[in-house]
Amino acid sequence: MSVNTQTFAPISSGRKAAFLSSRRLLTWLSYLLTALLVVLFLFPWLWVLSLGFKTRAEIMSPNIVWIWTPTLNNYIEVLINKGYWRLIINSLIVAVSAVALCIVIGVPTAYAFSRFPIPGKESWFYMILTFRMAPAVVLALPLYVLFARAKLLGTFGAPILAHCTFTLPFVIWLMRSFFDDIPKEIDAAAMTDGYSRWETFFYAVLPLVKSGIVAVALFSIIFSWNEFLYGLILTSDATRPVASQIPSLIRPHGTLWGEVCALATTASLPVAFLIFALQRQLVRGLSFGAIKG
Amino acid sequence: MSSRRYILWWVLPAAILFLVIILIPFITALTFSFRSFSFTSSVSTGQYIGVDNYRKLVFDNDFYNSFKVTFLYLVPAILLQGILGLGMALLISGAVRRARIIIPIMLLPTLLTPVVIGLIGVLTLNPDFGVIGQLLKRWGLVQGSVLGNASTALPAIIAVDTYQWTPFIAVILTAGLLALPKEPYEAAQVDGANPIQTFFRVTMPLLWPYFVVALLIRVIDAFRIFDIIWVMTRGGPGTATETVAVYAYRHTFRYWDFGYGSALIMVIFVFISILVEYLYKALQRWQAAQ
Repeated sequence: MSVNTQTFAPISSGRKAAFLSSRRLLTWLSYLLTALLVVLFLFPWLWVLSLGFKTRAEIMSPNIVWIWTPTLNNYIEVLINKGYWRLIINSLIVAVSAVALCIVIGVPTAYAFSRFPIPGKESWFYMILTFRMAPAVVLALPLYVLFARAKLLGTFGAPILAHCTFTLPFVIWLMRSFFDDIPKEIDAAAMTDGYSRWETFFYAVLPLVKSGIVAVALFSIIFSWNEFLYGLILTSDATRPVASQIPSLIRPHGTLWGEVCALATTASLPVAFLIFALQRQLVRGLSFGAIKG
Repeated sequence: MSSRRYILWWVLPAAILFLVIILIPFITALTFSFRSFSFTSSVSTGQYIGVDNYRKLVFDNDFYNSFKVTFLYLVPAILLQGILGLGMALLISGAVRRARIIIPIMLLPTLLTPVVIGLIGVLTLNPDFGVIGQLLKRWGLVQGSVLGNASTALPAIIAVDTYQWTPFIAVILTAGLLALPKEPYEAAQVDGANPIQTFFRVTMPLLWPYFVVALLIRVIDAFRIFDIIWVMTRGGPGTATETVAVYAYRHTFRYWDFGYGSALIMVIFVFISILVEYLYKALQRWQAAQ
């Protein structure tokens, strides 16, 4: 079954017993290494998380404090007293609006790309991918000028539309791969039953890609939630998302690390939750649907 | 109704949105790159100056430096992540059920907000109270601040990048390992190949398309990386960690030089589109193979 064992050469029967016990040892070793990896990847995050529950003296202690009484003061101070809970709401407003807009607009387009003979189909896809992969800084400047002219700077419209620049290509690209997985015979059958194209799309095909849409939406929410540059330059203090605000709290001197960590933790928990909700679709989403996970 | 017009209705809303938020801004930037803007001089108010911005770019040492920094970061990062990712993939693909549980945990750094990843880097490497920074200082490997030192700042960013992206490479390669066909291995067994030969002659060639996709995505990402560097070093000390995207940001939003900034953006975009072409072909080969 496993690939590891496939790579072993055939063994003579005399060495079989010794091989089996060494194989068991290998299995345990791989368990141990895997556990170690998990710890290695979780530890830095958990350590930063822990700082949010420490007092300033405990954080700055030259000897790292491993056992302490957790305090919620940092959370209360940064989220409630300083009113930064607004930033979380801002992130939510921007991410959900951008993703909702792009799903509604992008899913029918993805279906069209999957089913219809669109002229220059592959060139369009190449262009979509290029803009999806271009650094944010490429569009940040012209968008800034455009939104300034349209008097959108400082409103939620600016970051929402800006986030569509990477969400829309992602939705179209990934949804097309989900539609491609659905046999065209299903469309044909629905249409012989007298459904129009739109009815076929809505009632026959869409229900089959429901889990795909959910996955694409959740992925897009993560990307939008994580976005930094657009959220920084296209917003005002009232509309800035949390990820874009965190760096400004880090100062050369006198940074309130406990509060920064509390805010960062609050900002990263929704992502951690979504990753677990997405388990089965992670590989596909991360590799743009090329590799079916 | 002709079929062409019929198709139009399906794609029209997306086409309009694409036009307004991507294509028009992009063309605007293209025209900016031939104009002169300056917020410090009253003479430059957007008049056309031909290719002057591009000419300036050709003689701009900082621009070349930003490409150099990007490659100095990219090459070691990818080698490190490729090797570590392969090791991890071989480890977790051994047990499919375990992989299901481990993959989401492992991917946490990859999908976590990059700003938070940068913060993790800043804090763990802090020489006074960071878990790793303290050790580096105690062992005498680094004097003072890791991120404040021109020779250690880039390695620190490579390390954080490796923390973030190795799981991604590992997960893609795991998908590849789990999808490997059985026949070549049976043939290798019949031929009496040893495990090392089998690995290099059978596994690696079959896995290669996965490597190509993962590495291309990473190469393109190297031109995108901004937030992590912004949190950790802001491109400093000096220009030691100023990658292409950070450099373009400095010219557009620090110096507000829209003309020169746009020329930079165009060059970066051309670079990216060439890379994406390779990625696109690799992805297509992928889909064709399935």
